[in-house]
Amino acid sequence: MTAPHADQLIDGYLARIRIAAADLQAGVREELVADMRSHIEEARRRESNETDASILNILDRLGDPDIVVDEARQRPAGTTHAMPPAASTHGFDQWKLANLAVPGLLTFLFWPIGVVLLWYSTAWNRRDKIIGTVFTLGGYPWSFVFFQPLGHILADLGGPILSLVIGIPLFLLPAAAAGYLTYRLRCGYPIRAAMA
Amino acid sequence: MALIRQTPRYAFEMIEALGKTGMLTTEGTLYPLLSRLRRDGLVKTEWRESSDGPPRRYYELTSEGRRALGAFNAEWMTFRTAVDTILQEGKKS
Repeated sequence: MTAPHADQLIDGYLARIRIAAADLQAGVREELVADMRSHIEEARRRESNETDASILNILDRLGDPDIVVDEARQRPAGTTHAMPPAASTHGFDQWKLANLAVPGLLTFLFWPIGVVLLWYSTAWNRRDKIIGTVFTLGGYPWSFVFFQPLGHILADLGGPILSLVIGIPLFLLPAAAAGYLTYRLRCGYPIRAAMA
Repeated sequence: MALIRQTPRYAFEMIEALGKTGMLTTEGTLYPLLSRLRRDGLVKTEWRESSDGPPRRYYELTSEGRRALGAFNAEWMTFRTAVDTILQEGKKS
């Protein structure tokens, strides 16, 4: 016997898992949803008399989607430290941000180093890493090298106004990208104590 | 990992075993943990046909997983001995 609202209850739960896992990599998210669905089907087969209440009990035992998905954001397994890398590398990740955009701290070598460290970090997802790579425009030294000639061209074409209208947003873009990465570092990955 | 030290098991089986010990209050959290263990090379998986339903994914330890489990076991024994000693001292005093 099938519970009258089984599909609705299960699809609703899995949709909440997908929403909670929206910031995870697609492969990780879909694998988690597939595992949840497989578990639910296994549990249903063991029910002698399936009802809406038994379905809800299965979903309750699986747990709140936010808690389940938070487990997927924990540090890599196999380490014995108590704190996840999001906490232990917090200051180092901010140093990477500084290397990506802040004027006065950058040299022409720091931006490539910052990008390499950004991609090796576990503190941001792929989308954030792409934003941090593309929209920092090589950091301020490199952006001055590339966009100074552009500024002259724009000034020749449309006067100083055009160069300012286009130049100012481009000038602010690396700092905005670094600000976005800072926001994601602090708000997107909550720090939790991992099990030893 | 200790649950699959001797024989491969599928996730639902492990959840039932952990549920009996009271160690797992949120069953769903085992799945992302198992995925991480697999990505880190500590466990490997294999699909097997099931007599009463669709195929199941079985988990077993890799050699690296066995080393990690052995290291954790050693640390745990040291920790447990230290705590037991302190608790015994506390009882005597």
